[in-house]
Amino acid sequence: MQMKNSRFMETISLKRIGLLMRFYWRTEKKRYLRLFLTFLAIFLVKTAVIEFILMHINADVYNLSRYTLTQWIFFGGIVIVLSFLFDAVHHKQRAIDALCLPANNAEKFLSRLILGLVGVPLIVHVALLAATTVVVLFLGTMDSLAGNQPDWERIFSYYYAMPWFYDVRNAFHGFDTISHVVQRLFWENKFELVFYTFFIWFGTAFRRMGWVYAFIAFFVVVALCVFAYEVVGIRNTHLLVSHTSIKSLLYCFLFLSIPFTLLAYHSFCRSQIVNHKFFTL
Amino acid sequence: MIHIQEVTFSYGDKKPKIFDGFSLQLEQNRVYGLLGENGTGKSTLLYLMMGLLRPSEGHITVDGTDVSKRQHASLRQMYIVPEEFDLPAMRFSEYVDTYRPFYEDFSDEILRRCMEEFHLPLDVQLKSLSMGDKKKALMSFALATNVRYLLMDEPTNGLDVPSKKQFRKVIATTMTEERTLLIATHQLHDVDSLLDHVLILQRSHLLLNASVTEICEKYTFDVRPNDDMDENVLYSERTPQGNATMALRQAEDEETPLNLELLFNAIISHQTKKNHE
Repeated sequence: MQMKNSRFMETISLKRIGLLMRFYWRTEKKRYLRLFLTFLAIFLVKTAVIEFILMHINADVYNLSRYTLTQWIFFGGIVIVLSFLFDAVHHKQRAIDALCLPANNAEKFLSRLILGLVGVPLIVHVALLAATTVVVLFLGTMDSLAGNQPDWERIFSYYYAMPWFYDVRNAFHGFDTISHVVQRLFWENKFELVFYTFFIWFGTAFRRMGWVYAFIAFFVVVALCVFAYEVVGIRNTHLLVSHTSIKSLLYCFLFLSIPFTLLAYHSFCRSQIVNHKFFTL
Repeated sequence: MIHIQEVTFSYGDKKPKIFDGFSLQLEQNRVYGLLGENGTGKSTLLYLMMGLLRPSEGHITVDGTDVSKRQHASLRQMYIVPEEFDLPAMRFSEYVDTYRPFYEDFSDEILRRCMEEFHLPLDVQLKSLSMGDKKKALMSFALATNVRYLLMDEPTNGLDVPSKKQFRKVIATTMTEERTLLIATHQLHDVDSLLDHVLILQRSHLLLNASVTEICEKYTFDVRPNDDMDENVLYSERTPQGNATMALRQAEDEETPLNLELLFNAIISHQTKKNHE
């Protein structure tokens, strides 16, 4: 099956996209395995710290960290990994190998993007699931050894409250302050795509450390928003954020993932195997 | 046909230009030798032809398709064997299985013949191979792709003496009428019997762009004693056997085989003298 795209004026072949995904998988299997093991280790350490240390220190910190820490690792980990999605173009030999394959730039970009946006979050989800299962089994076994009947249902429901099941609306009541707005935007699942594409663009556009610049740019934008809101919002009370405006803002921001993706594609097309420039655009 | 038109390129805005208004045309069914001293831009030119580097000015087209867009139409006709490369950690059979579907005219028969000629098994773990053997495996794959334009960057670097002989045999037996081979090298002895066109590059300029037939029609390459050094001798080097000379061919002179190293040295020394003047 082939499609003609007026933007790129190239024939896109689904067969070649499939072949490219097979190529990436076969040549980078070890990389994905390392990714899984790294996240598994991080989630295990995190759970151990929370369950065996924080639990005995402070109940509030314990309850908060169970959700937020997982979310931070989950989200932060994925965006950093995604910023390396097109890192092959910054390594001469790998770039020669990948860029010379007989397929269009658009096909190479799309196949990578699909693999990244579906494959990477999937790997992190599976790592979290595996780590949680280990902890659940461990705690259940400890219960059994202590002579108690383990309440598997309670333990499962308790620990499988993973980020993607977690309803942020229950955590942040009201939207009257900018910090709530930022928190809401940040944790809203629908909003993840815009961060993913933002980090992919920075990772493609910068020769090194794209994710660092992406984080810096993100926090600068948030800081400016907070500043603008506090200054404007105090004087104009009618601008205070409502639930409806938050929803509109969410979709507006979600829409930004399109230009971010196009910018990443633009950087990918302009990439060269030898590049001394700071920024590839 | 590969058409390079007025190409300008540098590795950064403040770096010196590697090419400045450089033009060249490569015809089909030829074996080109791209010769030049280190740092003259041989590899850069190959990367530009593949669309792996982007010229700041000018265009490079392969059969009418702009290579800088890296489209399937141009990439399906081209393959590059870089001087340095990194093969994935897998068996060669798996490597072939992964890369082969991208090349519609891939020939298992050519792959088998090349690997046999190089004394390499088809099902070998790539990481266990020496650098020379990896290069031979990659060259076998490159030839088996049956692409129209095959670019090789220093293909004999890292090959031992028997392997260089195998390389020449493999190239000679797999060349077809549709194929153009461009070999960038400074190992002149390794490829001189293969070439039918010579390009000599220096500081982004082509000092020579001529077929071997044309060169041999105009010049002779032989070893002469001191008393036979007449005015037709353009360049000579002292050797234990006598003076290796490049001379203007006279009507009565028989055609001599091309001495690529002598030709290269003659042209470079002539250019150097000219530059000093």
